[in-house]
Amino acid sequence: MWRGLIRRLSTNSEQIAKVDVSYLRPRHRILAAGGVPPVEFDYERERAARRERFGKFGLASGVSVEELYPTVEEIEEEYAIGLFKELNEVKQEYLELKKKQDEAHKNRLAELEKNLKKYPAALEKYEASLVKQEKLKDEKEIALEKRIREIQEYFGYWMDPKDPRFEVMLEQKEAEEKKAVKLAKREEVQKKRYAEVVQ
Amino acid sequence: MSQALRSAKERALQIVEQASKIRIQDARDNLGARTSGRQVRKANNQMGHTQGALERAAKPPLGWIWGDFFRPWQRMFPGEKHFNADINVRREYIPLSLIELTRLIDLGWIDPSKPIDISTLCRTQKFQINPNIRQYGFDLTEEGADSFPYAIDIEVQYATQSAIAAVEKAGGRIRTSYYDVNALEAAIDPKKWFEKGNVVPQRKAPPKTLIGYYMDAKNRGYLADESDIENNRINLANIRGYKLPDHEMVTEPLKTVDQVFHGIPAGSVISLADKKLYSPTNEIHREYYSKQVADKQYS
Amino acid sequence: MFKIGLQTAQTSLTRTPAVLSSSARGIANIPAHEYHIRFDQQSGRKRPAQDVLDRFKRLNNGMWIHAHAGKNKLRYMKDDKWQKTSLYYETCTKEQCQMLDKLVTPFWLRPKHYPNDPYQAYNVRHGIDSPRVDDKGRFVRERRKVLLDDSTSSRYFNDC
Repeated sequence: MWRGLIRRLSTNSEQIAKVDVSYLRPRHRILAAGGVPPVEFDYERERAARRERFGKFGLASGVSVEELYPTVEEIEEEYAIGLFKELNEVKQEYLELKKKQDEAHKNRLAELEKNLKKYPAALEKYEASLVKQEKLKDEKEIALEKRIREIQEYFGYWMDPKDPRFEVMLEQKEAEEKKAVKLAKREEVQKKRYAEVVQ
Repeated sequence: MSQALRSAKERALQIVEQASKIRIQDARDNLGARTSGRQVRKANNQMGHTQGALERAAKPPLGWIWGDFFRPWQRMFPGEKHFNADINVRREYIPLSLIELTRLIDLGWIDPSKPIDISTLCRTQKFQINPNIRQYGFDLTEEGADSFPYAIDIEVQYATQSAIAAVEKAGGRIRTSYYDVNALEAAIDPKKWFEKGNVVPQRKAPPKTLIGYYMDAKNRGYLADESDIENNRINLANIRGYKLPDHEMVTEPLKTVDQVFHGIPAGSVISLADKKLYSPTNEIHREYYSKQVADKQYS
Repeated sequence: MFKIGLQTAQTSLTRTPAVLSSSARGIANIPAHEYHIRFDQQSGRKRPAQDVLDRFKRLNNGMWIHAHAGKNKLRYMKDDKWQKTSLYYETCTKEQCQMLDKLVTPFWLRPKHYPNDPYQAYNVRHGIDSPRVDDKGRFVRERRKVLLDDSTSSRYFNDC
């Protein structure tokens, strides 16, 4: 049925249509024969499609070369946005930045060199200050430390020197020590006496 | 017959009579004579719910582990800036080793007597570059640098010092050059670009962050002075200890800074159907396409 | 693996669970938004899990690395050994890598080449006996070389 319909449609056109049995649409028939199809659809009037048309068929497409270039408005807009800087400008910017960085680097190195020269003196000073502090500490606290150590040894356990009992124990210890000294003296005296008696 | 008529007792007695000796073992139960209940094997046990029910049940999202009810496993670790933070700034390059290049020339995919650039390399259909995911061209790496025989004229986007030395040792010329996204798209598939009816774009210079690389003669950057490059070439030969060929092997002129294709100036229109090249006549367009600009800063 | 209840709860209290795919049914606290895969409003494509991208890196050989958990916590009160080792990156197990691969998009699964990449040395791993290719014959861990056979490739490249 379709075949008959198509034959009837094509009989009134040309002899070629009779020979053609591919059932291609006219547009595709033109394309297959290597021709340029006419503008048929709305999308073909759009800019991208017209460009593509030129790209495919060249000047025969009926699209002029001027249409492919950006319009003056577009170019002006691009300039106005200023997204793309000029190459020489960017080069200058880069060179300036590099100069600045190099200078900073050089300054830093010079500073380090200067500091390195001062370093032995500074180190000596610092070490001297450490020793001094230690000495001061010794003078001040040595007596107290000794006292604490003695009392701890005497009682045989650790005792906090801030504890109120510490003072009491210290007194007790001192009293006992005095007593021991007294006893020792007395004994000495007694020994002397014995010696005298024996002689 | 006679057997069937005999009673069980008689038969038992007969067995006992025939037996040589009765032992205590003979008096035990037969296997399976007494059972205290049926035991189901572990695999078949479906106490309340089945394996299938568990398999078909809704699962937690990926990374959620039983025991940690507050965050998925992947959130346990601290973030790291070095990993992916700069992915939108990083430029990816397609690695092209010298041995692969040698092989391409050996097998006739590339003609070494002609200048080699992105278009030549992409024409072999061996590489895919997608400018949309920040792939910016080729990186020439040094694998096969010891035995690179061809004096070629090559233009890549990045190159190591060893690769530069290998190319120059063989008498070739190498330049590193930047392609912005549009130029790259045109260079990857020129036919597609021309068939779309696009104007041959102007190759923009690299942005400020990258211009240092291409202005450095050590990298054979295309923005460096030719005299600097020549000095560096001799210097590199002295450092690496090889002898440069006496006469220039590559004498063809280089592409200009804003050219995408050899011999086609920026701003031309190519008609493949007519086999013709059209240049702009309008003064505004001429100025637009001859103005040398750098690419936008964050590109 | 799928058993839940008292036994699993007890084991999870005593040791950290190693199997990622174990069922977490019964967790009432998973926020509702975690149950959905997110898609981009504009392009309609799947979005990668940002948590993963922030915290992990995929090397070109398919292995994922991450920083030490608790790396930045209370550093001053931890010992010297920890100060040193906490700065190391750790590799994930095979199962963890598979899970992370599912959480991101194909863009992140693609081997990428950057010049002067500090991770370049870690993109190859030697001495692995798992297959070099996947089911479609593509290399899993190494770059596909152009026009090179295996023996030539192994002479010039050191990446398998």
